[in-house]
Amino acid sequence: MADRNQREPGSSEPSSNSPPPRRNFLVSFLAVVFGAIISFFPLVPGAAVLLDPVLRRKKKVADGETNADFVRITSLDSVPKEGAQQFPVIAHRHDAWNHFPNERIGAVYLRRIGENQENVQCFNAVCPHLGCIFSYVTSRNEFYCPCHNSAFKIDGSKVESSGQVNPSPRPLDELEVDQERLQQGEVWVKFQNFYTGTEERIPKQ
Amino acid sequence: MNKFREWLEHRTGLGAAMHEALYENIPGGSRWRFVTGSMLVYCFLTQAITGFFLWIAYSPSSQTAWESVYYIQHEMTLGWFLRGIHHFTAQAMVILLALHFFQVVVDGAYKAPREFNFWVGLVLALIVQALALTGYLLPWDQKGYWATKVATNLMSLTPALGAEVQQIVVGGSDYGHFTLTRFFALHAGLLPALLVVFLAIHVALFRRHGITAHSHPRRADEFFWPNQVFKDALAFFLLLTVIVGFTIYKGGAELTGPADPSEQYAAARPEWYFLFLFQLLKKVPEFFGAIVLPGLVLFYFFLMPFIGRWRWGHVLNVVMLFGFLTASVYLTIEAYLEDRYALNQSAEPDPSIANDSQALALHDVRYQASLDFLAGGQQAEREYERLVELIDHEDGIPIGGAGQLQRNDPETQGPRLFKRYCASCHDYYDPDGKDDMRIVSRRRQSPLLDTSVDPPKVQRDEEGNVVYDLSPTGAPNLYGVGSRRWLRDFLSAELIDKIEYAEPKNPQESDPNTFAREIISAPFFGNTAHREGDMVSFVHDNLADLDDEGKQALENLIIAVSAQAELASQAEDDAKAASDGRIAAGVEAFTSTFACSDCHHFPDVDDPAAAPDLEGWMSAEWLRDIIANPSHERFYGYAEDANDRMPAFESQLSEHDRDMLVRWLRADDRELTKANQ
Repeated sequence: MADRNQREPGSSEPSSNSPPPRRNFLVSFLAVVFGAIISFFPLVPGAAVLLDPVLRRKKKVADGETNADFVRITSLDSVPKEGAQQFPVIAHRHDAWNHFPNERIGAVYLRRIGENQENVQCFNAVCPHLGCIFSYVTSRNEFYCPCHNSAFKIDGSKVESSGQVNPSPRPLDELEVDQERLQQGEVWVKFQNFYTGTEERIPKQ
Repeated sequence: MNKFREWLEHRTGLGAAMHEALYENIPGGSRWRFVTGSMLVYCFLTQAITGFFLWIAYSPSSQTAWESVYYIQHEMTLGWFLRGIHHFTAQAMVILLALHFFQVVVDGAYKAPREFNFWVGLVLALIVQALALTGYLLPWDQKGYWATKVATNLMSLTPALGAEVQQIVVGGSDYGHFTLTRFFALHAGLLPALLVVFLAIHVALFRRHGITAHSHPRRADEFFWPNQVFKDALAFFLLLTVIVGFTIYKGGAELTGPADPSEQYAAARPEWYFLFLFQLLKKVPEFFGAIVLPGLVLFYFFLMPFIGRWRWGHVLNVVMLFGFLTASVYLTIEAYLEDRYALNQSAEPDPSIANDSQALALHDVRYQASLDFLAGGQQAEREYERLVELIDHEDGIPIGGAGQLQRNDPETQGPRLFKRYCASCHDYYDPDGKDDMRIVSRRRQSPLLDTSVDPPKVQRDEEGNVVYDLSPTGAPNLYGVGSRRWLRDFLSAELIDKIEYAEPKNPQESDPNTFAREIISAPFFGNTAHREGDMVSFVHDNLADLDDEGKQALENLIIAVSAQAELASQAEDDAKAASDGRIAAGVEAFTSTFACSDCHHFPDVDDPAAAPDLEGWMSAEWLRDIIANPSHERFYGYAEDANDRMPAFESQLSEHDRDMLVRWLRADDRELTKANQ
């Protein structure tokens, strides 16, 4: 510590020949201003990249783009006459930079309805509670989610009388089936995912 | 409020720590020259912050690294800007490091009791270099890939454990997923952590020993706060504006095409701050240049505090450092200029070296190397622009990565394959010079030698003219092949067998090589065996002096034959010509007016083939087949020696490659909206 200057560090006493206080204040002010600018600057583009998914979604909504397109699921013949069956949804998928021409992007349950069973009802296979994939239980003719015991009747409404708490906030998410194509024997569905855990059905963009 | 402050102060000592930090005494007062250290710290903070945000979007694997960086650069909000700041701050850091080091040595700040801090500083400098090296590879583009490959190959020169060291760093015997995961773990994990640790030691030791400067009778001492803090902040603010300026001017950091281990990258260079090492390796053996010499320099730096104790030691240190920096700057500039030699020099050597054959040869080598470098850069740029187009067109990158898009794109593969397989004979250039794609090889004719004398002399004919070896060395220019324009030029008497030379400059009787002359133009058969063939004499005898009617017939013929190519670019014209009856007229001209069918076969014209079949002439299928086997009876198989030097590429080029080449020559896929889908 030999060449350390005589004055103690930590002493806030201004030295006898320090500049006048007015200038000191201005310099302090500028030091804080520039210090703040240089410290926060890299956070600006960083935040933009971090928030990119949100900004991108807003732009998509503003451009009127939605993710909901009719997707071919199967032929009408493949839908069973009794109960319900799960089918994969295969479609084009974007994942950041990648483009997948034919990917499984989700699953749906199909079942026949109508007098002559010529119509089809479709549910998104994701449980509206917290997003697990539920299953169809043949013995009870019900849908049942293995995660938190959500249960749904075959028409998608909530089962309320099983003795267990049914945590699902809403019935199953029904998806629109293209009636025109159905008459030609093809099942096309407007595939959409929804936010889970809400009473209201809010589509994901 | 005061109570809270008291409580906080009592529990944390924050205020005292701040006080301690801000009221460091600076003997002789604040100075602008003291800003380099703080600026380096700020650079590091900026790198840590921008690096973290890049991290949230980056994916290290050989199928996703380039792709994710591409996405950051082109798709994410301000992603290009973020990447640019990170890139240019890294460069600023290297410059500041040199300045800081220079200042420490010149001021003698390495001397007792500050030896340890000096060594810690050297370690910090090495960590920053390692960060720069590892970061350069992460985008997995051609430039970073090839430049870093050289660096890791040098690691295999490490004595005794070379191969093992390299494999540990690279994660295998060659570059792949593990190279990226390892480099990324180093770049974003270990190295920054080490940097923080050593930086903490550096600052602590700095505080322990205080600033090297001494109190000055005319300059008052000052505390760190506020004057020096202001100077530091303002200096870094100014640096930041320069960094932002560069980022905006350059559109962010450069990204070249995705790494391709099978594709040479002639413009591969390390980042500029490693250029001096790169240049050194051109001059000295790699073990000496990459390991011994840098090792010695570093060793000397570590010894500086001891050497500084001698009477003249400090002066020696300063001189050595100055010498090192001068040599580095010199090598950097030399490397830079060598790559751009062709921009500053003409192909013709300076007359002052005309008599110096060694200097002439050197000029030639340098000029060519520089041309390769510049052309490599241009090609990379062109391929990159194309790739951006492809990704837009495909609406994303396939799971196999961007390389897959390139491998199936004729506009990317065509020129690469052409250069490798075709350019030794064929040229590809737009005769109008509008298209900047230009693949032209230099071909020379050597003089024949009279070996009856010693040393051999050039042969001369009776008039004293040098006799050249005229054996053909070229083949037609394939730019716009199959188009009306190409055929029109081919069928003109001026061009079909044209061959033009540049006369040798300053030939020396003593050196026969100086008589070699360059062929500057031979667009069709001029530099092939066909210049003596029937087609050339037919063009001279029958097409040179046509009356108006004959010219009209020839134009119809050109339209009819060219229509066989079914070029995408000519589709409309072809359809129009068919409905106008010009194609029918052309066929008529083909069979009767010019009697081409005496030799050539053409659709609906049954004639013995004594020349290449023109049915489907220059169509994709015709071209693929002639490349596969030009000696097939459909092409030059009609006579034993009819094929002039063209090899059968069936065994050398896969069907896919032949298809790429042909589609590029025909420009089928140049407009992405028209074709491909």
